[in-house]
Amino acid sequence: MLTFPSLLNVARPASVARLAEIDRLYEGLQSAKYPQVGLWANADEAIVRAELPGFEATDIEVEVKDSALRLSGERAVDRDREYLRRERFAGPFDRRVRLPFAVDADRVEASFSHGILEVKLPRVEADKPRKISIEGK
Amino acid sequence: MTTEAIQKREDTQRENLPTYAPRADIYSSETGYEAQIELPGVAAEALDITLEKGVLTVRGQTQAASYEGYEALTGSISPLVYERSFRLTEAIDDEVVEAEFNNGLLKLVLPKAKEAPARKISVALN
Repeated sequence: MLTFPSLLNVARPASVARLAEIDRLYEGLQSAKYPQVGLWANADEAIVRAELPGFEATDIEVEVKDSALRLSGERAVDRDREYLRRERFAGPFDRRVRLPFAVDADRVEASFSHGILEVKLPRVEADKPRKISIEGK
Repeated sequence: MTTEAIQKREDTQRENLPTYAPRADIYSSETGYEAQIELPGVAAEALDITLEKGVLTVRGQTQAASYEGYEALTGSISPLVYERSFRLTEAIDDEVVEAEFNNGLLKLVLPKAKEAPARKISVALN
């Protein structure tokens, strides 16, 4: 991460703001490898779907912390065979998904069927917006 | 492409389902071919495998998932079709093709046809 002399902190020139954005986009690209992930959400719950054909549920690790979901695992690379085509992903994967809110790890449910992992992540109660009533004076 | 596959593709296009070629690992060995084809979300009943005139065609339709009441932030879950054809250069013995389908991965073993042993041909004498 580049650091800038304090002079530039006085007023942020457009170029500095652009670099921060490029960093953020690059970080997105780093984790946007494998597996393919879809994210759905409403006010109370987020759902993440990942395509992991050929895996067993026991070979996939799902970790949750605050508003981050981490999917990791590995498929052994087979180097000995003579390939005519090799398109499937092989090797270790470690993908983080940023969730729109903090989730309750104790209530997360994950299921795996037909090669698709589905993770249901309920929002932490404390993170839900609360209506505040305004007192008139 | 097989005649059946062509018909199915036309049906698919009429329904406007997006069609994708699935990722495949294909290897050859002394005994024949092996293929691993990724078809996540496809149920066994929705999977079609045909071998016609040396062309292997695999086609599967995914189930529609519905997340009503949720906003899609990334990705989509409309049903789609995976379809791909492979031309096999060696003749295959179709009687002993093995297919296994688990966790969205189709594994195929396609043994080469054994060469017919040399036959003597006798000539009828008039």
